Amino acid sequence: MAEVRLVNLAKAFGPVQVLKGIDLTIPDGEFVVLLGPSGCGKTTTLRLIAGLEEATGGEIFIGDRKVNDLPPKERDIAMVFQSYALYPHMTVYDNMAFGLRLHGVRREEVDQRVMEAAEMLELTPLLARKPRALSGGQRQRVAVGRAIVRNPKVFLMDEPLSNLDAKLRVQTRVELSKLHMKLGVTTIYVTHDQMEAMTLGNLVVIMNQGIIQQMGTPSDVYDRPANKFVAGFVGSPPMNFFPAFVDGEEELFFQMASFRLPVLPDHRAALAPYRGKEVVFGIRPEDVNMGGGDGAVHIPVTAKVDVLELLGAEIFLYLSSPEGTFVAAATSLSFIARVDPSTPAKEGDSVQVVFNLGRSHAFDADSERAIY
Amino acid sequence: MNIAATAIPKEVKQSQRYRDPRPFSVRFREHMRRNRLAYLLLIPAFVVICATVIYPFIYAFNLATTDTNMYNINSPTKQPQFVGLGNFGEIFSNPEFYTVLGRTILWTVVNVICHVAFGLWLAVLLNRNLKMRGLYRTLLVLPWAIPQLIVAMMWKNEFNTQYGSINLILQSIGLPAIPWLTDPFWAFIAVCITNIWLGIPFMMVIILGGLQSISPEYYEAAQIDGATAWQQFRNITIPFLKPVLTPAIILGTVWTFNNLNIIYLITKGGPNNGTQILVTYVYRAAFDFYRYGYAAAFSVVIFLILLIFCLFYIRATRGAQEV
Amino acid sequence: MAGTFFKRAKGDSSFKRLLINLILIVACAAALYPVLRVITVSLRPSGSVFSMDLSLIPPDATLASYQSILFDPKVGFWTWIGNSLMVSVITAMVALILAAPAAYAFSRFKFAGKQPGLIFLLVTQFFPATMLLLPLYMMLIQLSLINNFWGLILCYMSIALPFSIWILRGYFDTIPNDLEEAAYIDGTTPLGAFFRVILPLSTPALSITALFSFMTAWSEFIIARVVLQKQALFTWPLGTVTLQGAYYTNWGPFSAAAVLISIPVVVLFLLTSKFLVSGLTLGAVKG
Repeated sequence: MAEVRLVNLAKAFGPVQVLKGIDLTIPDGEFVVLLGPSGCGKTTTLRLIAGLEEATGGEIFIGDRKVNDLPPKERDIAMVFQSYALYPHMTVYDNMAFGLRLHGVRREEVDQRVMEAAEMLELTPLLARKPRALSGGQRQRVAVGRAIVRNPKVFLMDEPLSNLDAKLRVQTRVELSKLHMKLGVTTIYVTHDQMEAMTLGNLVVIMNQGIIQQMGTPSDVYDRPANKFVAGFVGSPPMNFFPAFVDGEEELFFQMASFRLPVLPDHRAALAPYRGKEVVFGIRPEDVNMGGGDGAVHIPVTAKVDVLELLGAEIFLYLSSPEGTFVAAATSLSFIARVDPSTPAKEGDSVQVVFNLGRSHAFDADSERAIY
Repeated sequence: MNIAATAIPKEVKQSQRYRDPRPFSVRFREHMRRNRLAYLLLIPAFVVICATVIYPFIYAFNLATTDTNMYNINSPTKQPQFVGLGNFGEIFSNPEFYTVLGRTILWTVVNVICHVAFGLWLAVLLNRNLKMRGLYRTLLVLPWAIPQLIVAMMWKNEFNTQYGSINLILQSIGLPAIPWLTDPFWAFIAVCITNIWLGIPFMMVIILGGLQSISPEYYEAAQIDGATAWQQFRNITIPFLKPVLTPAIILGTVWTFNNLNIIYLITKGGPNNGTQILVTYVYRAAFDFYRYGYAAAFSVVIFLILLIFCLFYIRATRGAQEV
Repeated sequence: MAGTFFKRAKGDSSFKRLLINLILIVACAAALYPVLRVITVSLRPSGSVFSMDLSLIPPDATLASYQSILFDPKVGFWTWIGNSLMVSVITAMVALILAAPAAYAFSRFKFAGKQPGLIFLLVTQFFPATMLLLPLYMMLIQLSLINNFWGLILCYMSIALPFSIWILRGYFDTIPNDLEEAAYIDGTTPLGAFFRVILPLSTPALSITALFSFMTAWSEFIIARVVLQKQALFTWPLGTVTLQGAYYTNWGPFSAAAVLISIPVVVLFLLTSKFLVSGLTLGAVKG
């Protein structure tokens, strides 16, 4: 077990800069998820740690060893591939034993460790089979088994659940979580699926365009996004953003295209420098509530229901507020509300909603950094 | 040492105009480090290919400019002389060259057209639910499986004027016997028949493979659109077969153009040189008449003809696809 | 197997089906007839080899020709077979041992000269037989390798090696890169991944490639005729042709030899032809 540390790590494929200097310290024993859209550099980061790619700049440490120039086999890592990459000509047993044999582990110990891992993953009855004779879920477990028998310092997982169907994915997610609790090995897990990221990771690292956008616990990144990208990427449906003009004297308020909202006293200090400027106001769909409000802080906004999606336990309302009068040339604002299924709304209705301003966000219009 | 085979994102591959700004020595060292294993793996094969292909290939060009023959090659008194392009001059000024070239083209065209036509026909017939499909396929592939020497000998026997079964059958239905191997015209027909018989299975199997890779949904869609069987064949089957047909036709053409076995073994190019094609002509010049320099020049000419044909063919098919 | 075009053959009218079967039966007969005739001739007693009889099994069928081929010490059938076996097995093995690493390099690395190398491998297919044979023949004379199996094997290498590299590269291209990467992480070197993962995984492709080199060498006549001039060294194609005298062909024993030699090759070929075809088209389409 070991800490993994990346210092100013960079990778370019020819002219394309895929990683633009990453600094990241992954504490010993953590389960860290690298999350981001495709092409954000998360898989490249994982492959650099694994030694499957060569860094074009920066340093990689596993434990206190700098591993930049070590081949994968000397890095003491194990990896689960998206495709599983099981050796098709070997049995399940041999797939798991292969790495141990290569490291010169004694035969009895190989046997014992493979049996142990097989037991843990319920693979024992399948040991004599070839990968071709296994189901998708079984193959996935063999891939995990191949990684854990090695007892490495670090587990690397590259979207290991993306080839499973939805139901199995949820189930396997829980098993991976339990496995990590049991083994306590530092794990770096790459995914583009935020559900996986939020449920699996002790720490989530959100990446975009070769840069780390934010690192924190799942609730950190959800409740306190560091910038507009993170706010928009995490959460489904995504956060609503409105361009807003910060106006007022003592009491600031946001002027949107078609309505205005007060700035809460807690946020005034942070917003003061933006008086008279444009910012981006953000609010999550679950913080848009039906109702008349209290008229003071929670001012009701009238909006039309364009589309209604009933998801059983909740309803998504796709709303639009009429064209504004204050800001010239503004278009109507569209946003989403996530409400209780008992809400009596129909498509085409005009409804009143209030924003839970205590959970709102504001971002700098240029740098997109969070203001509060 | 690190991993050489790296997965590079697609967008990088497309921007091939990119020039690495680092100095050559740095790039060279990195290239060698990444590809050291590749060169190690290649060396044994490369050495053997140099000895058995590249050196002889170059030597052939060299030989083509000399008058090397059986009498001066290892003679203490005579040395092969450099004759420049003299051999080529002799080839191109010999009217027989043009006759043989014409016959070679005729031979290739007739064979390849028949191979593709019969191969396509049989493949389409086979590509359906038939009870004895496997048996038909196996029997139809048989000609390809038999060693060519035996095929040639077998047919030579069948073409025997007096005892060959073809003439016996012709005579039994009241037709006159044909002087298959003694008349130049009929001898040419005979070698063509043999080679057509021999080459159909290759095309058939390739086309059958191509047919099976066409998703039935295309035909279903076409049927819903009201396409007739012929329209389906013309607009679905043929376009989808193109990717397998193009290399198959190139290979088939090259193999037929260069097919020494059948003609050499059945007629040796005779009677009266009536079945001579370029490769048999040059093989005889080399190994029956021992004119090495001349034969080497002739080989180079044949090679260049094929190369030019292939370049044109590839360009033509590519151009057609782009339209 | 997913039949497609006219998969609805069951929907064809019974007349159409009859017609299709009829055409295929005629085609099969045309493919089979010359072969059956060889068997017929091989079964004739030596007196009636030149017979005008058209029946497939001659009324006076006898195995005498086979007997003379197999057991007559003057014929030398077993020597030819032994020579052919030796040349073909060595050709196939050497070609495979050299081609597999090279094909792997072509499949996985981006070394200098990869593209020209691939094109050159393809261009070797355009060489007329004499193009290389003539220079090789002279090389062999100078190296005193005429009338030597190694000389013949060297000539066969010029055909078998480029072909094997081409076919194997096509196969290696179908193996995902992940497998090697998994092996690196499990603890192999890149070379180790090739030997411990890729090669064992490719056993079927390797054996089929070797088989094709074997069959090419096994049936080859034109080159062998030039390189081997001593009777004792003859491979079976050379030997069999000696059964045809200058003025008359010893058709009975010749046919018997043809049948005996063809049976194993034909069986092997029918079993593996599908792989050859996919290998050829796969490689060619990509190139």
